[in-house]
Amino acid sequence: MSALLTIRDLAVSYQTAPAVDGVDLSVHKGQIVAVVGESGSGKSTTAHAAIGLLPRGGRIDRGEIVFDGRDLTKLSDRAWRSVRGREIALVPQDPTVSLNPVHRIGDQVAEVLLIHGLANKRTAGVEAVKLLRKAGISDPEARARQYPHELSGGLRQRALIAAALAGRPKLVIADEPTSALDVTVQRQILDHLEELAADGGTAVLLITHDLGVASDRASRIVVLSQGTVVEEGTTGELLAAPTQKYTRDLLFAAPSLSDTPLRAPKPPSPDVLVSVRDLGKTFGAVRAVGGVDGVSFDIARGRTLALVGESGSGKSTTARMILRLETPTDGVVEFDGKDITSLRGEELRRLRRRFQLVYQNPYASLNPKFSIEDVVSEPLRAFGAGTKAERRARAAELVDQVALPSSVLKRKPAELSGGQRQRVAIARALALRPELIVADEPVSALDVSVQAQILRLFADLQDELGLTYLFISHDLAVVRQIADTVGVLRGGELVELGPAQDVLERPGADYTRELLAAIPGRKPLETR
Amino acid sequence: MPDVLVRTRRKPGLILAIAVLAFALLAAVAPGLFTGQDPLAGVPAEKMRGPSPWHLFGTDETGRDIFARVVHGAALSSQATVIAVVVALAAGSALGLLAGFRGGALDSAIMRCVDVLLAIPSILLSLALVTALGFGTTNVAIAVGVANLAQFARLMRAEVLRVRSGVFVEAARAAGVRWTGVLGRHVLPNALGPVLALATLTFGTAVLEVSALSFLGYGATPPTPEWGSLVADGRGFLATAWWMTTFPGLTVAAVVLSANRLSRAIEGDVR
Repeated sequence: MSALLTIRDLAVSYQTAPAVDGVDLSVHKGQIVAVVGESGSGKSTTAHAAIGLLPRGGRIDRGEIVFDGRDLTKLSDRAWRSVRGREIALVPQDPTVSLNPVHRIGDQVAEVLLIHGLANKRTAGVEAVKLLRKAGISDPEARARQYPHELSGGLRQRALIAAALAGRPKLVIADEPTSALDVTVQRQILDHLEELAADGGTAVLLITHDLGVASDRASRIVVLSQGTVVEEGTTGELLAAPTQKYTRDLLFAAPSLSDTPLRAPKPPSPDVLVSVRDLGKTFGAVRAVGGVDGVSFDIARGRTLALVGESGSGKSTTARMILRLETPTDGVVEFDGKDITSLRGEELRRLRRRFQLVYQNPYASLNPKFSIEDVVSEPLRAFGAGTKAERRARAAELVDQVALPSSVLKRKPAELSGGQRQRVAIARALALRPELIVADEPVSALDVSVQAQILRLFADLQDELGLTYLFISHDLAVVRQIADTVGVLRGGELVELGPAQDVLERPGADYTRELLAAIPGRKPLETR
Repeated sequence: MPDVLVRTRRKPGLILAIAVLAFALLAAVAPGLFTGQDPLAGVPAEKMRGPSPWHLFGTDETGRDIFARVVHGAALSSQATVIAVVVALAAGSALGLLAGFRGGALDSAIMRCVDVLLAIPSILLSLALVTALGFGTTNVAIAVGVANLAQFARLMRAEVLRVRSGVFVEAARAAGVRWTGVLGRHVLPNALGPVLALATLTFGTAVLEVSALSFLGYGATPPTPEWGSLVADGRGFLATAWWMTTFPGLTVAAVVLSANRLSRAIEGDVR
């Protein structure tokens, strides 16, 4: 059987910089092929070239993209219009920005039908509702009349899938379709894509950075790095016996539940540093998303507590209340035996040198006008620690501690990579030698190989400096690497709390089991 | 920097604008470079002469060289403009910064006052102010400055609100930086760019308004030359000596247009 889509020796460049340089891959009818790679590997560029939607400045330098016997690189804009949506459809990455905010969901799906003449004005509405139902949206009649902002991320992604399938395409290109979604929602969306391939014979080209997702869903995997194919093969072969070092590194770096933790969890300790009792936070009159209700736990000195939950579960709010960036509505926060719940002004500021924060997004948490030296020494400045020369020396020492070269000191954040910036943020948090570091999703914005390095850094620093961590994450595989104790939050309530091994291997709550089951990358674990 | 120069070279209009402004500023600092004639002492024998190689812009009714008066007037006019822009920039930014950073009732109070200022046409407002403050170039400058501060307050507040919600600002607070430090080291430097671009745009408006007030006679006392009062002086002789109003008027127009052109270029660079 000949392939539906064949890409041969494709090269794409932006201005003069090559993004893709010699990629070959093929997708057959009813097959799911995953393209895996880290950011900048050219995986999205390959996908966009295949649907003729390269961003401005992007140019195909050589190679061919053969779809159903036609070379797509030679199509005119006009000819593209009959292919796009009708024969090849795209499910974009970010469901929040990919829907038009001023049109109803139903109309946006119906639009595709009207454009391709698959329905007339009278029938389009009904057909759109049918498509929404097929995409797994419950109560589609009501949803069709709603606007994108009224729907959750998962429902929006389903609406986009409905719009993509409206033209009954032969090939669906899904560009990181679930990377913005919670794991349980991610599983449902991927299940749906898989059914499509199995039942409808639709081919799916799945672009993802997550090897776990790829290994669960795809029959073939293509590994990209720096614009070229590093390795290609059936999923089973590739995972069982990767021939290339890059693939092995990627497999090794991908956190999964099969891995052993970075180090053995420490035994419980009676020396409590942070104690939280019946903590509650309401936003406005009603308990809204992100609120917290009656949460209690202790963090022992020198240990790591991880709070796990999906978006809106209140895990960040809890962390922010402990740091007193939010004021709790109920309950008590004690730090080292002192009630800090209603501390204010200078007294609170003085205390801040003992607990510091590392943010999720290293691109936003550093002042763009500061040099790295300024960023790292800012907390020292704030507390008037040492002379200018001493602060400079300490900044150099800190940068060295997080394994960055001293040459970064004079540079601006914009000149650093995401992983380097997160190291800078950690160095800043360490500057005042705090006892507690709160890390809010510190690795979720980073590539897997960088994630592993940063997690290793966290573990080493804890051993070296006796730090206490409160680790916020949605990713149980990451949590397993580093946590001594795990707390699971859902809808602002703590549903489970216990030693990491117990919670992750013998979960007591149904919700924890659900979360664990939804983690991608479990299938090969079971079959291995 | 060389990159900026290369881009500038391709825009003849911008080069002309920079040349005009450089000319005006140089005239303000060292008028002797451009004319050797006395702007105050007239030669009665040469009164009401048209433009000629000896008197580029002609002479007035007492035989004073108009080119010399325009060149010497540049000092007072540009000084007044600079004071006006500095007053508007400093006071407006301070109000906007305070309103945006503190928020709450103070924000509402400041911004409603700013709304009132915006509701009154700025030339009318500066007229009222200069009447209250008394005549003189400095008072004219202050009046024009106050009349223009509302836009600065609004823009600064908007920028502060944008920057203040940034994660790095909260990170600074979480690191224990005092609120003064957060404001001065984190919020202000990141909010200042667009405000400075507005300041260059305001230069054009300020030249025009300062000249307008001086035209109406609120500026320097005669015979001290000022661009606005030079236009006013020639008004009575428009039918017989067109050059007396035309050349000072064209000078004002050229400077205002050049300032606008330059500010547009700067605005484009800031974005």
